[in-house]
Amino acid sequence: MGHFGLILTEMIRRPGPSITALIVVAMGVSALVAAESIASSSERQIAGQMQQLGANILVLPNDVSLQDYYAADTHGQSIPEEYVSRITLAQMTGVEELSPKLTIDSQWNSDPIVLTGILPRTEFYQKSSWQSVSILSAELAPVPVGKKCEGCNGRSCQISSGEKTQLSSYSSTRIIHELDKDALLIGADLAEAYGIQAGDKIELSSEMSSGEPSRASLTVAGILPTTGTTDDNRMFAHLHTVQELHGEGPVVNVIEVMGCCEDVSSGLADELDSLLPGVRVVTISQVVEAQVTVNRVMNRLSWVLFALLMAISGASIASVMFANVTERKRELGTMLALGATPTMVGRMIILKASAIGLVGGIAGLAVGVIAAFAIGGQYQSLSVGIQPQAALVGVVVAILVAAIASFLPARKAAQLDPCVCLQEL
Amino acid sequence: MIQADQVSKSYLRGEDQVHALQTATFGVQPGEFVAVIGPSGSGKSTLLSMLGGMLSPTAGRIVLDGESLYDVSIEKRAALRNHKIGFVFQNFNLIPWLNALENVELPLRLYGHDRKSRRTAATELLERFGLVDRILHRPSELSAGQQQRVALARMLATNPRLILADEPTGNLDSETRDLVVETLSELCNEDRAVVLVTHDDAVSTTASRVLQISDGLVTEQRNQKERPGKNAVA
Repeated sequence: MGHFGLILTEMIRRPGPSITALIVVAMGVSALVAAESIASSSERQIAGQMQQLGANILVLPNDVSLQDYYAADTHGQSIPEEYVSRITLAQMTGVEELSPKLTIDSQWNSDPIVLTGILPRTEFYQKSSWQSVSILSAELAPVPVGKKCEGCNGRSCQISSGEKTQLSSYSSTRIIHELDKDALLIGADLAEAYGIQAGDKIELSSEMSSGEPSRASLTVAGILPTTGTTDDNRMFAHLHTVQELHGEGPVVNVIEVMGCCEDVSSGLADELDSLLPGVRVVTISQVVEAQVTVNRVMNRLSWVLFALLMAISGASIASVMFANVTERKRELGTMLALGATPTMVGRMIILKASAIGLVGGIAGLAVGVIAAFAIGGQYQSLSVGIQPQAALVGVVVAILVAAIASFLPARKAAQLDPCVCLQEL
Repeated sequence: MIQADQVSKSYLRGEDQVHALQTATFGVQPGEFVAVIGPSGSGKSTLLSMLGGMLSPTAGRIVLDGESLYDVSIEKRAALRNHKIGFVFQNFNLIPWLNALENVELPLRLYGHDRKSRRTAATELLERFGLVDRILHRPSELSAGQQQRVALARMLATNPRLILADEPTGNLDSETRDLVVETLSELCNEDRAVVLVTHDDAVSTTASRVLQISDGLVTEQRNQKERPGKNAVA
């Protein structure tokens, strides 16, 4: 501790020479920790959101990229709601559920709110032309709890009849049986942030595509359970209410299709694509694959960046330590005269460099964590979790690089002739 | 205490062989205050460095308390420097980022003395030199005289037997110079020996013996004072 204490004292009282090297080390570690944490959390979030989504096919406007949809489904593009009818009437094998959605930017008490319009299943039922459609009439019949599912996906019939009547079941099933046109469902985080409770009246305003203001007075029908996704910060209303606020007529942003797995793989997506003009039909596996690919590229880039910054750190530390040895010839010579061995002096230089690596690594870790939370929260509403493995590797590599980079300066210091140092005074 | 036996030092300057010191033989006994005088470049500092175990002679040997300084390992020689030799420098050579107390502690710290014992020893030494109110001051916050007193305290931290002083009064006013010389002189009465390099006649007259170096040759010039242990080998 004696020698390390000396080194820390020097670093604290004479920080100048170490600062540059320390900053470069910190940058390398922070880049790695932030990128790794965001990438990893993003992957976890995809998995979570896809599980929440329930659907395995998305019907999107042609211009929308998968990234846009994933980042936020308020992409502004729309397709006719009538496409829902087309899919239903086509009676394609494997289509088990449909969930059209329209997400718009709205305002409540001047605060921006993301409002998503969803279509309850009773709407399908009311449309007499669809009554004969097997997927809906079959699904609407009450299913006793515990009854064996007959559909190939089986998702909808796994939901108990009790759940079907509960508004909160939307968060877990993505299917809602009934929703009044003036009813509003609130995401868990949003409800907590604003203290919203069931029964509250909420006045939402928006701007129609024509530029005219639009308003809707809605009653909170329920608070959705926490999902850990962007849904927690949204409000949900009846699709047609949201369409009125939006002012573009009967349009939706996306139609989520819960399809039978075997049928999805055997061409259901292609069938939907040929049925609906001007849409982009993507399977969830494509969305996940795209995001995972992006994450992997980001992940590799973060390692490349880390390696580059560590190389620069090494060069910087070597340069700083060489300058330090030259500058401190008198001090080191004095220490040798006072009884320090050359090994001690060399070790002090390596310890100092390692301390720069350690302090830089820890500072970089702290900055990386803050950056990960800041960036994750700002751009993707990610629930960022720090990657202990990346943090550990970052700090350990920073220390090792610093120690290795200081080897030659340490050798130079150890070879100092105390007598020559004193004669130079 | 320390014996130089046929000690020579030569080195190359370009293609020329320079004889910094030639077959010097002398001894210093406990209680002696030896002044080394001579013109600039005569080899005074070379001699002091060799006596301090920092510069190996080209020929001959130097024995400190029975141990040949340059026949032991580097580590052992460093330990001997720490335990038995104390240095006082013209420019004080205090570590600028350590305060007075930490500077005095430094020789003890190098050899792993615990914090409490070295703090106690360093504080006592600083008190002895009248610097108790300057303990937490860094060298840049001290006058030249105060810095040299801190350097003296540091030199005494390991209670060395041999004190080597290289122009210790060169940067001091006459009052502080007298204090330093008096201190070194007093230390000779504590079973120690002092070898002091100086240009200052006023300082060299205080010494019990004077070694004159000229062109690398060491000669005993005169006895200044009667002191115990003056029977050095010439």
